[in-house]
Amino acid sequence: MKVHVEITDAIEPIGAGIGAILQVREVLRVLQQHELRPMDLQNKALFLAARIIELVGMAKGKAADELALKTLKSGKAWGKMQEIIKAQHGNPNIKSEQLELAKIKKEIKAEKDGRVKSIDMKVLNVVARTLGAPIDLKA
Amino acid sequence: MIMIPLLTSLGIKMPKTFSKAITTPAATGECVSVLMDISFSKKQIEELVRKHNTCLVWGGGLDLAPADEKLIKAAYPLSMQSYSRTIVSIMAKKYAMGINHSLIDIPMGPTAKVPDMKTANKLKKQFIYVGQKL
Repeated sequence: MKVHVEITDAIEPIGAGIGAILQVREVLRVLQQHELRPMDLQNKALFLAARIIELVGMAKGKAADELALKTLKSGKAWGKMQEIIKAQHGNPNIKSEQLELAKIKKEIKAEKDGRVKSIDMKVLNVVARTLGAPIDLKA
Repeated sequence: MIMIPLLTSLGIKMPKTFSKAITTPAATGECVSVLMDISFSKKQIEELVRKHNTCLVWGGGLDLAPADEKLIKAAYPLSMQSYSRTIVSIMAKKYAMGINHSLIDIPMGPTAKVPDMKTANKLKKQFIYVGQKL
């Protein structure tokens, strides 16, 4: 088996959502090229997709990156996703706004101004799991 | 979940299986299940791949790597987590699906599962080593 390994930076979570529904909302937004799509998620997906394009010998370097970008931008990737969703008994016309979020919501504001210096993903993981993830998809 | 439709729309065949979350808030399994069914029989999966060049399905219950499933069951109550076992577990399932090219992403960061470059490089070598044997 031909194996290619990429070591990527993970100093903070990719995208802003944690938990199944929030993460899927961002996936849909990238595939549908929604204006609110998280660019870090889009860029990472494009970077890794281009590496597979290289790995299978379809294109190299910049051409691989461009092919990945074009496939996403043109809606071809979303079209294929719709085909997969339909084949696996889902709603292929789903919009990111249609996903039902958790009923209970709490906003926590920072008490003073400042800049985020680091994010502890282990703590975020504990918070999400305490709220019911991964069993509760809305948590 | 973004890469699979992107790459398969270009004609690359990618029969994708995934797990459900063990230590994270949501694995690919939970995410995909928001949009569609993920549990299919071997026959149905073959049909999906034949028709669409891909599938997004849960690998559990397919008996893809039966020895691995037994090892997981034994290791869980002992809270044993070893990198080498994770590598074997991933690669066994890829091999069982008939994969001939595979891209492994190792996210590395101080609060991620892989904390430093030394560990990441060691894992990288082991992934490539196991790949060469398959």
